[in-house]
Amino acid sequence: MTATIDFDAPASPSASVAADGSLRRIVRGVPWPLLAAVALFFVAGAIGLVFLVAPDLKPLVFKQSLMRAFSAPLSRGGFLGADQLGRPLEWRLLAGLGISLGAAAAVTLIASVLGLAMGLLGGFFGLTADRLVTVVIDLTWAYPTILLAVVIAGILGPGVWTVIWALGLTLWAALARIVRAQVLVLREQDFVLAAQALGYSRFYIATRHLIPNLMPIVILMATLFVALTIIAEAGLSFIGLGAQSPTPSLGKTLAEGFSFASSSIWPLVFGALTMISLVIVLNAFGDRVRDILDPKGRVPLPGRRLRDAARRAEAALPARAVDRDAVIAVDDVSVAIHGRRGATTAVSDLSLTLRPGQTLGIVGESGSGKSLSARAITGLLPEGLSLSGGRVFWDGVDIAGLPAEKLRDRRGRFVAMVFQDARASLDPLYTIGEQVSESLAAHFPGPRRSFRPKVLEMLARVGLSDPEIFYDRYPHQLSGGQLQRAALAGVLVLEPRVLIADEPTTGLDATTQKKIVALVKALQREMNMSVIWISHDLDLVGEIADEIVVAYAGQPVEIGTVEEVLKRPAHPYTLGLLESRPQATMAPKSPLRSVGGTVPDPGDWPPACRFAPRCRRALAICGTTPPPMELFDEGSGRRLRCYNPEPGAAEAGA
Amino acid sequence: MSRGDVLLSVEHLSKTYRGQGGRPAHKALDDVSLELRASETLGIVGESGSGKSTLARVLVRLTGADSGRADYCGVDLLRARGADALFLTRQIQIVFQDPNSSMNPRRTIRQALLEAARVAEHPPADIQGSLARMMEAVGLSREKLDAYPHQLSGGQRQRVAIARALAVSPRVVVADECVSALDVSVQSSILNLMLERQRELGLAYVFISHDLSVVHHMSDRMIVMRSGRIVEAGNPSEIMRNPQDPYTRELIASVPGSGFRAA
Ligand SMILES: Nc1ncnc2c1ncn2[C@@H]1O[C@H](COP(=O)(O)OP(=O)(O)OP(=O)(O)O)[C@@H](O)[C@H]1O
Ligand code: SF4
Ligand SMILES: [Mg+2]
Repeated sequence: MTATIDFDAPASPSASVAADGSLRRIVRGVPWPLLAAVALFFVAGAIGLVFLVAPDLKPLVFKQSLMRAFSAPLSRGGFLGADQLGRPLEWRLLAGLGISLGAAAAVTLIASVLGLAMGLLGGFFGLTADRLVTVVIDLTWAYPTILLAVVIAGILGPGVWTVIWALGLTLWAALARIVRAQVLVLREQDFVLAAQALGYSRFYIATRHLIPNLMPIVILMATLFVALTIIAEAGLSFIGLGAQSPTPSLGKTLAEGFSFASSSIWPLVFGALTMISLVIVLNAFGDRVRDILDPKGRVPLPGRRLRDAARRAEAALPARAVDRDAVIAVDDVSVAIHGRRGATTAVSDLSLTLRPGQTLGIVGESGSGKSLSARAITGLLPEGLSLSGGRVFWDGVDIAGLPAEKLRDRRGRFVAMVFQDARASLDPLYTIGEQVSESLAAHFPGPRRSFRPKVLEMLARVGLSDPEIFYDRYPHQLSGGQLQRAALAGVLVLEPRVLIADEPTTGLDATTQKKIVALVKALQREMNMSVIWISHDLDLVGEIADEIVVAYAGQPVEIGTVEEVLKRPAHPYTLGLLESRPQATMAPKSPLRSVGGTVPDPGDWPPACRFAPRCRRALAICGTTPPPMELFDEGSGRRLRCYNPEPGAAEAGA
Repeated sequence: MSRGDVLLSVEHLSKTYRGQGGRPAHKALDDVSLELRASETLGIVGESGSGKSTLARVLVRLTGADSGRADYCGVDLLRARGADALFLTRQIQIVFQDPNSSMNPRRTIRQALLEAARVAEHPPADIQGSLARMMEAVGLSREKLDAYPHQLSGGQRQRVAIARALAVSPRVVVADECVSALDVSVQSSILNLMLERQRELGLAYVFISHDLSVVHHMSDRMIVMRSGRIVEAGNPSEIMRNPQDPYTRELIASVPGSGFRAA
């Protein structure tokens, strides 16, 4: 769940859809042809249910013609022809559809209720219940549906109800397993704990908190059950355990169509077509309903249309002078997100240079575009995002000019990345040694074995002492700090020129964090590497960086040496971030300064200075004309995007 | 009861998690003793796995202990049932770390707050009006009552979590890493909010964090935990100035930024 992007957009339309979850709202989200098909199937299903549940009502509910479709032979066929009993085929198919859907509804009801109840019982009502439930699930899982069908047929006699009970009493186990697994995760979520801390009963929590969160999976499984029933009914009817003539279920239609195929092929063809379209429509509908019931709505699938146009327009501009000695030079780069409503800029005006051996820190609040800036530099933007302007040079070479294959090969050896979640960047199924070897194998020829000495050396260098042991360890056997060391080994073994570290110590303990910082510093010196260190913690960046880029709303707002930026912050945002942290010199429990407000999302940026709505020093011009990035301090080369810098900085800079 | 009276006293508390699936048993709490007085903040600092969260969970009775005593105003916290349990629920509430998981994604803020307000001893007569006041007290507009958690920012969600804890009118709030997942700027506004509420309502906090600077700023008294044990306890400034335990010294040395801050 954390891997998806949180579109913090207020009141997205699909979210309000979920707000009352009424049928009308659900229906609005679905294209009409699908809706028409579903409506048809629902009507047919309702008819089928009546037929199944209350056979005595049949004559009252159905017209003569439909009645005949269920039982009595007719002399002539319909426009699709007749079956072997002389019933019109189209009526028979409709009736069959009804019976199949009715049976599917019954099976789904039985299996869903049973599966949900058993899964909850196992996952949320104590150990004894769980042991019992697990045994029952395993037993159910072990015996085949068909065996149960034979037993039930022995009791009830073959027929549609035999199919229903045989499926209903086996399929639930699949749902129960999934529900139990999900409950085990959900019950550790803070909102469930919070309800428990409020003293609510397990039953209350199960119904109010767990079940709503389990509905997507129940609905998904239910659509699966429906499709399975329709197919299984056909199978069981075929071997004589299901519907008996003259009950015109779809399965029976197929079975009979098969037996009488020599006289007419059409019952078989139309029967199969009906069944296939039914299954397809149900699947599509189930997906839609599940999406619409999710308050987070669907993450729009971004297209790539606009990317190339923007890129071509950019290429027409003359290149500006960039520092071609830099390891990395970024010139006026912007990044666009391609969504349903066109492109939105997420990063803009990004220009910076990284020299050999230098460390550049990028800081800013969450959502200020730090990670996207870094990814633009590696030429590796996530799906749906693209470079919409500017150039990136690696060792003076514009990476836009490199063919994709070449870029990929160069990337691993030129720029490496490590992330906050080291566990996620390692494959749980391979040992640490195997994964570090894999990095080498992607770029160098030779059998994996031959890399072993080099890998062991690298593991030792990142401080995993006893590399022979760590070589054979799996990621889950490592602590957070060790995982980050392993991730570093995996990328540094290629001896890249640049390491991009995207919050690699966030979430680690202070003492572990300090050790990782020291390790990166040491390796940087040894390998003469440049480092880009991303963090939301100015103090931490102050420890490791030579130069700091303060980013706000997708834009650098202050770039300068660590000394200048942290001791004499010039941008009101930089000062705000610095003042937010409690200091040992402050009186305990005194109020902290705080910037107030939040970073606006891409698309909601204020027109001129993007920081203006939160800025204490805003002037009239800040709301009308975007401030340019200008040299602020000749001596240190600090650059600033602000009309009204903090006075403390100006005095010192002069 | 006035400021300074002992509300909560914990003596020789121990808890071991049984090893599962081949993992060794883990001693999460090892002979922990502490006291919480009315209207004060007891800060607890320590790295992950040091037993801080287990302690928090014991205090709000989400989990039990193996041995030791925990006592709130004469009520045995480890064995409370029925009316006693309800009393404790109303007196001690908790705010969790992760703003993403502390709210049920399928229920509105209004539903979440109502659920808490109903537990209070004297639920307000005008409950809808009081929900609006609760929102304002944590700096949110009443329009947000009908929002879903995903429509709020992390900081806003954490404000709601605080409002939910306060809706029961507790005397003690256990805050388990409640600002650790937030940006520094949001962090400071949440800390300010907590300080304000404390001054106004006379709350006592058990403030748990791995962030030494934050714990130091928030606490009247401070405890340093490691591997389930208390290694140091006392006045926060005193501990910072003159740490006794080697681990505390290491922790203080690990706080980044000491070099650049003007002293
Ligand atoms: N793949 C994506 N698709 C759409 N929008 C995205 C994508 N990745 C990031 N964004 C948006 O771009 C903006 C900048 O995101 P980015 O991840 O660069 O921020 P950040 O500064 O790294 O934040 P954090 O500190 O939380 O890591 C955010 O508003 C984010 O929602
Ligand atoms: S340009 Fe104006 S609004 Fe923007 S940061 Fe500077 S003073 Fe504040
Ligand atoms: Mg990021």
